[in-house]
Amino acid sequence: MILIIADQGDLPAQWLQAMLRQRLPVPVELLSPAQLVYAPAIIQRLATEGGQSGFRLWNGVQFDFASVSGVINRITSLPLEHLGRAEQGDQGYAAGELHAFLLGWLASLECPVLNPPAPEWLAGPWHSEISALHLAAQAGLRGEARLLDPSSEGARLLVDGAGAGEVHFVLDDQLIGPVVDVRHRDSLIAFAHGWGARLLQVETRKEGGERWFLRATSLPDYRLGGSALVHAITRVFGT
Amino acid sequence: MILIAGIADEPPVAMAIEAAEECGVGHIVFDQRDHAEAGLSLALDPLEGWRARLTLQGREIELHRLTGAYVRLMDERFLPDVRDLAEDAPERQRAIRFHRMLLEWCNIAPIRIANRPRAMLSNTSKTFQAELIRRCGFAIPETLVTNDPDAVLAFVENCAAEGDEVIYKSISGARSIVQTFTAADRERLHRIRWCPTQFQRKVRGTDMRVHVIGNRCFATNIESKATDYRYSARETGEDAELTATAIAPEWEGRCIRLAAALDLSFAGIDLRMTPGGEVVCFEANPSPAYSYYQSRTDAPIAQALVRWLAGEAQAG
Repeated sequence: MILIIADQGDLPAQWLQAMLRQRLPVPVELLSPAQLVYAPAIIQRLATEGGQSGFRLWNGVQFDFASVSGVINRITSLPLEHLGRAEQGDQGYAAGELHAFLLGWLASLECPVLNPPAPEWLAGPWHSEISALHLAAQAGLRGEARLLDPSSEGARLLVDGAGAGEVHFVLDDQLIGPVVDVRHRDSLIAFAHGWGARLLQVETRKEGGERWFLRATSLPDYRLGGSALVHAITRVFGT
Repeated sequence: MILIAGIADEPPVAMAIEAAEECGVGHIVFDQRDHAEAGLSLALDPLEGWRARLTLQGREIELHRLTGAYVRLMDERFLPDVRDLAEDAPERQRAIRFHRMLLEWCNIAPIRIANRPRAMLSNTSKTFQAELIRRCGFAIPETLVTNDPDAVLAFVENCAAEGDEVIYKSISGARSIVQTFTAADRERLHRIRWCPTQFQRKVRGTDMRVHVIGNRCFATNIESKATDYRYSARETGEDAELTATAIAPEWEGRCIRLAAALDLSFAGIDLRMTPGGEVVCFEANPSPAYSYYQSRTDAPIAQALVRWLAGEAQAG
């Protein structure tokens, strides 16, 4: 089974589920973070020899993660509605515990996970605009010269909104998307390494022979990668 | 030249400053309480990345020209001159931006940093760290994380049948006192339905704290009758007894590997040596309050830290 963990309204996740169902011989299920967190029985065992985990959902469905062969992880926020009546201090503590549990649990899964969680964001590595521009410069992608000081208003450093440039995907050293020259291919792959995500969506703009960095995310819109990206994902899941 | 940033008289920071003076390591101290008078700018070089300049009492410091920085900043929201300010007060907004920029620079700085803020986040989940700990060759405690009271009772009974107690503690980095599971806890076990909780088979043995700096280790043996030695005086009426000790090269290597896996140049690793010879690792602290250990053992941790930040090569 392949499990996609995403909110009910997550359109890229729904699209990917439909695509993977057409291509894979195993069930592809979509589960929301709320279904997981509100499961009446959550069990994670850790030991020196290894770990195991399982969930029994409210509808009686049981997930033994030893039988899950791949996970698409798109947990972007914690379901916290059930803590609404708790005192503020208890709410904060419980939210921290829930985040810590999900982070540890997702990181412990033996099967391929796209993307594995990171301490700063459950959906995978995340970088601030300052850090993203630094990684881009070091990888050979261009960015505009900037000067910041603490008196500056919180202006955005990167362009808002999608659609301003070309969209690339880097998955395990493979570049998917528009054809680029070797230098920029290497730059995009180096950028993804620096970012630390197994699957990264990067948007760039080509101008004057240079490729300018616009933005990146480890929460991709798979629809923009089309069948080439879906094919690469199926290969990660080894089917 | 190194930068030491934090509350200058907080023991770990004060000890690092003293060590730098003793060792003749050139250093600049940024006392965080002076943040409002300090200047900071970040300039993006399209080819090199960001360059930072810190201004302290009129002196401009190009941060990328330093060899290293020890950064132990407190949450700026609780600084004395910030905590009572309105949310939208310009001084508060500046303090937020100043600290965010400084921490961002620490994440990307091309020099030695103890520790990069990003790397310190692994401490927000003990179970996240546990997986890395296991992969680095340490034993980890048998652990159950669950919201199912029946599963806890079965775990407790299973451990009891083998003569072991069960303890419980936070999964997150929130400071919690490790507690032994007792009969009274059975009565309130239903509360875990709200949030998965961490239970562990109690590991018997002697505690050891290993401070890793680069590829050097300083081990401290800890004797205490308390469940959590940090609260030994409160729990048992006696302070924990700390002594400097040696650690076998094999385990020293694993400690160094673990710190590297967590991208921590400076880490406080909590071990327990069991009577059966196992080395169980509980966690790696990314902002170790090493002064507590150094003041009781005279281990030269601060000296090693400032020398490493100054660029000193280490053996091994």
